[in-house]
Amino acid sequence: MDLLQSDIAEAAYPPYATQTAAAAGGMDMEISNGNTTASTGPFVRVDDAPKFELDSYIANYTGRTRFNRLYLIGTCSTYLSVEALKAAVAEAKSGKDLSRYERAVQALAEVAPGEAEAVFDRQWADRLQKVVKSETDRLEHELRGYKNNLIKESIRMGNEDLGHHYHQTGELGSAFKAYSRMRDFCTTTSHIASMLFKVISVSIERADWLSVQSNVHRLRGLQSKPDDEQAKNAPKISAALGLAQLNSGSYLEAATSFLATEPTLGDSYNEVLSSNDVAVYGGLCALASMDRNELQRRVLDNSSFRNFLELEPHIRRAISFFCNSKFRPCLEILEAYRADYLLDIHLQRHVQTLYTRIRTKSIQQYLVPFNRVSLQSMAKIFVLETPANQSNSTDLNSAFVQELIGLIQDGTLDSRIDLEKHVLVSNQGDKRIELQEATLGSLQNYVNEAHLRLLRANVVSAGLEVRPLADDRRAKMEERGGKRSTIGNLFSRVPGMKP
Amino acid sequence: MMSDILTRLSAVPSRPHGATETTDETYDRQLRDLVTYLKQPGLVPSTTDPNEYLQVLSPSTHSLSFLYLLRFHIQQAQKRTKRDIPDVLQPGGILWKWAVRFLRSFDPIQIRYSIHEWRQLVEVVASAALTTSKSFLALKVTRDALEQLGLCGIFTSTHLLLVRLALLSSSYTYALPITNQLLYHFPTDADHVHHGYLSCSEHAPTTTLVTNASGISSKLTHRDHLQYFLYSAMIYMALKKWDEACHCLNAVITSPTSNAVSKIMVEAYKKWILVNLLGYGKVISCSIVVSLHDVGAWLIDLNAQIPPTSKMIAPHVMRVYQSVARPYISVAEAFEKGELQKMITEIDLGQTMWQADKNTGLVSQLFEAYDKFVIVKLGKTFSALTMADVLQRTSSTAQSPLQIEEFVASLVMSGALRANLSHTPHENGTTMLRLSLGSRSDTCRQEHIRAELIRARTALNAIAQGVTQTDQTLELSRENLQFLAKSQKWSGNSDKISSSGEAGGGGDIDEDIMGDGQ
Repeated sequence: MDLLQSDIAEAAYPPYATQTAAAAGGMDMEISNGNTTASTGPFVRVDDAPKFELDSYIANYTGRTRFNRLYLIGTCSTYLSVEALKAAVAEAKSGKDLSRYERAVQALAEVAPGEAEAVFDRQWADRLQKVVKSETDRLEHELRGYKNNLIKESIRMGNEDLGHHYHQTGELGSAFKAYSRMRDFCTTTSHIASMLFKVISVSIERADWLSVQSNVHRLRGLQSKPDDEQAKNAPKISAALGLAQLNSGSYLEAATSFLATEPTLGDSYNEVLSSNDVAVYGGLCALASMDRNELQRRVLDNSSFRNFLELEPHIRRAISFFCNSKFRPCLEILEAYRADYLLDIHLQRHVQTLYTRIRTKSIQQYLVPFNRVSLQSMAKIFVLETPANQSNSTDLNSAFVQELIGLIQDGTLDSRIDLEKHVLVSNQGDKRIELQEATLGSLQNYVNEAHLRLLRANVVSAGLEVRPLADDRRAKMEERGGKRSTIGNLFSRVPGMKP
Repeated sequence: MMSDILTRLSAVPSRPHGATETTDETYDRQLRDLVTYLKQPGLVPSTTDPNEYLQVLSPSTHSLSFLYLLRFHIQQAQKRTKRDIPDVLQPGGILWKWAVRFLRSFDPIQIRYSIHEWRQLVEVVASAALTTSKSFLALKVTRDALEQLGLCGIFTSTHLLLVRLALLSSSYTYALPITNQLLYHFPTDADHVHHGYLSCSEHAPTTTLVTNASGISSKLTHRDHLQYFLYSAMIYMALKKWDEACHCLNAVITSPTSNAVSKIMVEAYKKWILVNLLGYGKVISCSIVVSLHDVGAWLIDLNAQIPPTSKMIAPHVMRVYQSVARPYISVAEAFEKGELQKMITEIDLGQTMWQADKNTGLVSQLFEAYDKFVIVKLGKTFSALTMADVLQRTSSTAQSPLQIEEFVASLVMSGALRANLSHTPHENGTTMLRLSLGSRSDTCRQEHIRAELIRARTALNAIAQGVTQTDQTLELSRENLQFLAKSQKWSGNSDKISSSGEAGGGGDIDEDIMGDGQ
């Protein structure tokens, strides 16, 4: 019974829930810290209808990620919540993880209390609890038996079974430990590889990205004999690494990893992500972190990644629009899919950051050829609202101008706004004067610093450093006893000095 | 009788610059003999008319004789009237005239032989002017005397007197020739000054004078140099020369300490925050102060690793500053973040503190400085905008576009802002502010740079000279250090340094001088 209690306690802070909560609408820039801190912020609310069909979307996935995705969509999207949560309840009921069922039922009860699925099935839950308990006992007993017999292969398999069982029942910590214990009993490289994949899969679910990265590197270092097995694993390794890098906010590295993923991935890694996801993640990361030449060379001209892009043609269109400097269609496509991406389990926290970067980059790219450019023409491209609102989009207080001001003030744009003629003027400072001024400034700093240093050395050498009062008083008493100049004393009290 | 004395008195005229007739050794002996002769009592009858001898002697060629005669007459007058400042010494009096004439034209080389008497003269003249509330005259005399003596980088009690007089008489610019000099040397006990120079040698570094025995300065305490730099900073503040003020305050707040913080340093820190805000719009985080290691600690432990970025302000001093100057820091934070409303609240809250610290004047300038820096910052974002937009983004003092226009115009005129204003041709049209990046004409710039370079060269030379002298005084040549490190005598040496500090303690100035000094 102890086991179960701890189980529920753990379920109170499911890894994904904490993660999305910490993200607080994707505004969280502290991505690397978001993994471990458990804060209770509001969820992202997505009111727009996503473009995908829930059924066909979820059919792309297998395993535990199905529930996680359904649950996320159910809790974040107002449009799909009932449908997704119902599916999530069904999904949970087909598995062995009681805590998931409880969460899903609870969430559904909040959104749609009238639904039949929103009622907690106590009988089923009790039965499942018992089954899980006996299964755990049985497996642990078996493992103990194997350990006594000292047969490596049996111990490995015993651990694997136990890990699998824990994973199925949602005890990710125990599952991770059980899988990790397999390491010592692996005899072939393929055993090690399969063990590492299991560890990675648990780590991804726990959002333990550091562990994902280190295990991926271990997998890379593995010298597996049969080449075909290596070839089979390579795309999964790249995808997992990319996922870890995406989540730790290194978008350029993530893009590189996703771009290196072989199209043979197919649907072999559906328990984590689908080929469509690779296209989307890789495309967005690349768009946010690479310049136009790189995008052209490494993404559009990349024959293997093209296979992925074909699955998500709008991403390819967005990238090619960006490369052709057609920023408005590019941004429009992205904006149209914002709801979809906000409902993606891995992308949710990064959508805002990625979009802002892409937008900033577009503005920068747009300004490159211009010496001065009218705010009106910029607004035509970068203000994505309806044309009716565009009339005042070049006012000082319009969102677009404010955005530009923000970009100028944080140093992203090296230009200034002319509110008389309503143009953006690029700064063309005189480098020579700047250099001269910098030199004079550093000269002055040097002189000042040297003087302070010199003064200090001499103060110390003359014994004039500030000392405690007691020393002074003593010195003063001595002084009073001795000779005393009457004149020097006249100035000691002069009232009424003005600064 | 009189002619005999006069012959003796005028026996050693000052040597013209670069003269070689008399060698340094002879001249040195002659001057020493003269001083001994002058010091004997009853040299001239006490009834003599002061004018009689003083008229004959030239203060610039026979400076020593003139000084002693003048001194003798002052003492006589003091004895006669039983007052410290007799009437004849007051401005307009006969001795005053002679003293002023002497202090403007004496020969600095000769005076090195009785610098103590010279200092007493300066002090007595200054106090004579002060007793008749003519502090301005006192300031001028003191400044002329110090300039004439031409001390190079040595701090004396006369410097402190000077800056105090400048503040008293509110004639700040008169003190600038002295405060602009870099000071870095302090009179020390003579025992470890080795040099082969004679005092009369033209090439003798002035540091040879810098012993307590010479009497160039009254006994100094840490308060004296702290006050000097604080007062100098206040002079610069009055003149709105923020760079210089900030540097002087830096010298105070980074002063080395041993287990204590002076109130002067705390006061300086408060002013330092305000001056930073007024001068730069932000508190420069001691960046020019960083990367200096503690020389004291370094002397004691040569082998210790010196962290390159350790601050010059010891952590415990910094803690004291931060706890005592809390209201100032809050104001600075609000100022830097551009939260005008918060700044106004903080300033209102601290009213009593500003008054107690006598910083109300500086604080009241913050509003204008705030507007100024906001407008200067606008220049980085906008190249042109209307006055209404400027008003919307600034604050406080100005209420209408017209008022802000006046303010901006004054900024442009004072050169703080490079911009131009243009009125639109329509009636009641708005005014457009056009901010340029660097529009100063080329020739003007070149002149400016040239002047700056010359100034920097002088400063660098002064610093280099100071470094050489300090190295000598501290016996810091590489060979010596290696020798000392080898012979493991460091502990003994460091004892000596700390014990020499004891002698510098004590002084005439009372504890509460700071309160008066505001």
